[in-house]
Amino acid sequence: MSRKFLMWVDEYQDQAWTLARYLLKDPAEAEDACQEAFVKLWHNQDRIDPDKIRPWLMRVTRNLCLDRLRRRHPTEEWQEWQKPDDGPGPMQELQQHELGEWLKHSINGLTEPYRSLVVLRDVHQHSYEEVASVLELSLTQVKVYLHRARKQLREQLAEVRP
Amino acid sequence: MTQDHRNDGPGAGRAQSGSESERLLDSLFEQISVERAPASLRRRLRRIPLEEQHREGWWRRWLATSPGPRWALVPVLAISLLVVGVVLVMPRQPSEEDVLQARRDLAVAFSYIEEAGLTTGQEIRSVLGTELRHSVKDNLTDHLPFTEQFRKEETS
Repeated sequence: MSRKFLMWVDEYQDQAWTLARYLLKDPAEAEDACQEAFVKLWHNQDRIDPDKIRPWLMRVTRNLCLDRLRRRHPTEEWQEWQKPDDGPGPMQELQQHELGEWLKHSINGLTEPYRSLVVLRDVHQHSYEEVASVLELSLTQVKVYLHRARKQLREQLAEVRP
Repeated sequence: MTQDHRNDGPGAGRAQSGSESERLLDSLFEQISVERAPASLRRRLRRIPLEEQHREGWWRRWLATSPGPRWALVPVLAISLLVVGVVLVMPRQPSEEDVLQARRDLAVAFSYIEEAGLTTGQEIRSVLGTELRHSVKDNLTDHLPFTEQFRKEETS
């Protein structure tokens, strides 16, 4: 049982970490959320279909992160979090290597569920079906929301790189 | 699972449009691949089985290590409990020696009761049988020996 669990840890810890990192921004909290998600996996491992471990883990990680954000931002700050960040300075000419950092920041600026969608789909490269399972959305919703998210990112990119 | 599906669905519009920003965005996404979890988190995650096994009770460990599915243990435990209950509730059959001893004890007890009944009857008859005749014209208490004794004690 432990061996199987440790195999999942090796396989999915980076993805869970990346998702938590994008959602929470705070590394210490992201670590706690990841650990909590894997503890839940430990306790539920017999009840989860082995083929669906990754979507299950990503869904739990995301929900734990959102719970933490709600606790952290009970009122105004939560609404603030819902608003997109300002992002890097507009109309600023950026080099290719800087654009990577810009994109990370822009993803952080997206609202939910767009942020999770972009992280899961474009960063983790999960299939649409898996993303739908993680976010508990329909396939159509995933495609439409992802289209909107990417449109936002493209528009911001157009401002940085006119 | 990790195959790239970026060219299907509405996202396909990106490829079809062929716009520069679309291609740039794709290339940027390739730059920001999945981050490696920090060593501290890796250590914490690897400790989970040990810590959780320690936290769980002995019975959960026993359940976890028992052969077969857990649900199969439910009827086994239920039947065991039923057997123990039946054994505890079932009346014990007395031996022949116990029955004989009980009969002897009962005989002795009844003989005592009979003896006591006879003695009491004789006593009542001897006291009340003659004295009740006088009670018709005198105070009954004057003819009862214990009331006489009681009166003497009061006057002394």
